[in-house]
Amino acid sequence: MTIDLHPTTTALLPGIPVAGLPAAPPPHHLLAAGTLLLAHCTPGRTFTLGEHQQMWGLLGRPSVTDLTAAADQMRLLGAGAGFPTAAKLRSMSGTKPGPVVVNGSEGESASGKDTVLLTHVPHLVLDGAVATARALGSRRVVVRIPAARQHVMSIVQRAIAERNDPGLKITISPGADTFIAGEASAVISSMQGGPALPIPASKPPTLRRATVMLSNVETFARLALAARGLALGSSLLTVSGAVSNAGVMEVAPTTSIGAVLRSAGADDHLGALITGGWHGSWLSASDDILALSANRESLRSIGAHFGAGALIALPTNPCPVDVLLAVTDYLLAAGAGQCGPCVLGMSAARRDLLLAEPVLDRVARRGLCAHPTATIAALQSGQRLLAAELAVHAEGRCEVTR
Amino acid sequence: MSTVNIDWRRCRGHGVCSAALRELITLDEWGYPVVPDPEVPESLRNAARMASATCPAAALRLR
Repeated sequence: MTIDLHPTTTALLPGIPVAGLPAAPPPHHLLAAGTLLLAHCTPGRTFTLGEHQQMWGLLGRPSVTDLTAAADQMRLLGAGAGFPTAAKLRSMSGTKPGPVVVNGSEGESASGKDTVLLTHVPHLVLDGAVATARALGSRRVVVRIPAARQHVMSIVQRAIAERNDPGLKITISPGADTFIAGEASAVISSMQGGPALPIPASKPPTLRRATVMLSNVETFARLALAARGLALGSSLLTVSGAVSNAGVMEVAPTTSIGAVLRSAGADDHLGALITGGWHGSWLSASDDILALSANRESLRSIGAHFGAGALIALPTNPCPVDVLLAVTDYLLAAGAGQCGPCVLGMSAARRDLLLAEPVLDRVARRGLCAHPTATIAALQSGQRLLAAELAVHAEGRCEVTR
Repeated sequence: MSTVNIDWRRCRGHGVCSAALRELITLDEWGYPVVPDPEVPESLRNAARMASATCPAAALRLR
């Protein structure tokens, strides 16, 4: 059997090998200057503190009420599950403030935005964390970065050394580089010296009885704008898959998915599209979908995930079913393996997929984290899109590679 | 009112909880508990305590 590969394709999916193609490197670079957070950036170059302050001015000291109101006005949401940041800030009131944790784990191999923000505009991210710490009365900011990303750690370390934030200690906490390590309770677990696996955690999470304000890098960069009273928006996206330039771009929220894919050099004829990363939604690469704006609300309007803003373009060859199975295996292997229903339920869902039987949710939110439920939702989404092809595959045939 | 909580890291699917508290806990196809509504009504308090005390994995807690 010969597979006629796209002539320029040597790797396809970031972090996931598929159909004999090796895993592509993570899309951790900036494609072009952005519209807001990454405005005026040159790919590969870090803004110094001086340049940052020239652009954005000095950071004020908003009260927690002001910061919460600004986050509300911006409709700021956490990048993963989309939990409102204002609600998170409100839930901290009256608790003993622990560290503010900037979660730069970015275990999602199809996402690069957090790494790109940390390496291009570290001071914007740190400003957001500092403003949050001051508003909450916290004295510590911890930036969590996978230990394997030495270059990110050294850029952030240099940025920390440039700053002077009286009364605040900012440190880097090196973490694990796995898919699940960035889950909030897994970060807390490893900061306590435990494994980087989800633990039963209170909400908001606590560390040595103090409340932790943990959020992702993008949220803190946006809080730096909120702290300056700027209620502006943008879409931060990571494009990968069947594109000539995989990486991060920041666009106006009204920009269409098609325009985003075109500027990353996507193939003209795509087999499918995944939005929201590996836990996300499988969509056809139809004109209707490509005309949608690449933002959270617009994707939500069709019941699709935006997640951390990862867009994965899938080619027509290799067969999208092979991609779905490769993604399934990746997600199963990424599980923490701690909870019986999850391990068994995810394996059973994989079997459903192979037999072209409806993928059932046997996990039903039983478990410590959102991974199994999100995995099964992603498999169900892939199955809905590829039902006909999966049925053919279940009979041992394939329309693409026959 | 207390609620039934399962520590999924400890639970090994012995199924004892369901036998002790079948009004609240059923089992899935592998013998792991399914709790549609974790709230324990007053009438089941003693049964819930018993279920918690007899879990071989100490995975069932009342909170």
